[in-house]
Amino acid sequence: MALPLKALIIEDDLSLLKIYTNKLKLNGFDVSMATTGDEGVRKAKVERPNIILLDLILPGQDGFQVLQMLKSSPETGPIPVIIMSNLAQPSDKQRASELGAAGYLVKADVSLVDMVAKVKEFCNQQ
Amino acid sequence: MKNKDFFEQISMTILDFVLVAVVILLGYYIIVLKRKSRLMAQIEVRKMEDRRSSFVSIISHQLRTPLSVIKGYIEALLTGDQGPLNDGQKEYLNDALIISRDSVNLVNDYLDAAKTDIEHMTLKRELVDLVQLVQAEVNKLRPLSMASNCEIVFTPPADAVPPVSVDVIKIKQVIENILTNAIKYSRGHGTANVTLANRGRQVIFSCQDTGLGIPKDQQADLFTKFFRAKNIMHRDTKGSGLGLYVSKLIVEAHGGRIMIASEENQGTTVQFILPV
Repeated sequence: MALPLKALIIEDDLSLLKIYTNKLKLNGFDVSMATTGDEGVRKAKVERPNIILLDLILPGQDGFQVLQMLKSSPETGPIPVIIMSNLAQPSDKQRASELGAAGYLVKADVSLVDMVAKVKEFCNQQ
Repeated sequence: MKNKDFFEQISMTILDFVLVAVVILLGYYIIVLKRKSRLMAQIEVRKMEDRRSSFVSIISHQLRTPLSVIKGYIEALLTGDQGPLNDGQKEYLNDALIISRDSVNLVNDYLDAAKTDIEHMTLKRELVDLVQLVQAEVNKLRPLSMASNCEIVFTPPADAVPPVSVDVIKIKQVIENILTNAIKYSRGHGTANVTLANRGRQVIFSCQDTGLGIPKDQQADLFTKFFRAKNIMHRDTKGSGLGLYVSKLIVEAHGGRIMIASEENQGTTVQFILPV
């Protein structure tokens, strides 16, 4: 039997963290959580998830800095990162793309079903 | 004599030369100055546009986040994450989902409108007893201050303060912003001493706290939109960074001024002065 796909969610809003975690678990994912960028980078290096969902407004290091750290490390660089944020300006999306994000979802606009579909899509591309 | 004329002529020529050089330099200086001021104006316009764009971006974010949570819970229920639903439950949740989506769109629309309006403030003035107003605000925030272990002490002025013509709602907003900051950034303990003083034709409100304070290198940006001190961002990402910006707009619209003195890890004193 194949091992479940592992997702790491870096999100400081505990309600959203709960919602995304439950939804991914119900869809067969093994989910790990972090509420700060530092914790997220540490978990990404240790746990090597198949995919990372990253919020942008975080306490301490913001999501852009975290993305840069993840992408510049040989251990975490190849892991696809999907930005999950309510910042929806084109400049934010462009910056995330330039820093190496695989996808960008606006939390208020994307449905949970579409979020799961996107996560699966990026995992399958690996 | 000839020698004298010769030297006079030479010195006149030199003087003329110097005069011409000064005129040329002055002209050049004026051209450079004009170019510089045009450049400065362009930079200022760009800065304003950037601030406006960042206003929409961050406020949209702060308003969208709770709506995303509501939407997430509704969707999770609708897709059966917590068990099967009957048709009536599904119908209600679908209605709620549509409303939450509409709210996101409304937020965006309102913000687009608000970003242009906030800078054109109109005041509904009335004569007010500021001592009573400050006391009422202190009382209102007492539960929050107790929960945060920050004691607010209001010392009413010894001398009578004449009634001041202000927009009550807006001045309340200023006082509340200042007191809430003192409580929120009190490091879990401390005091905030609030005073009101009458100085001739001015009334001075002051709030001196013993909280986190603001790092020196960030104090120049205190009154700009979305300013959030770095030492605060490490503790709390939820504030809008608009409180002091809006307070300054309100106080200045009343013909007054607002000032802050702060030492990191020592505390902050916020004062505003209103004309009587």
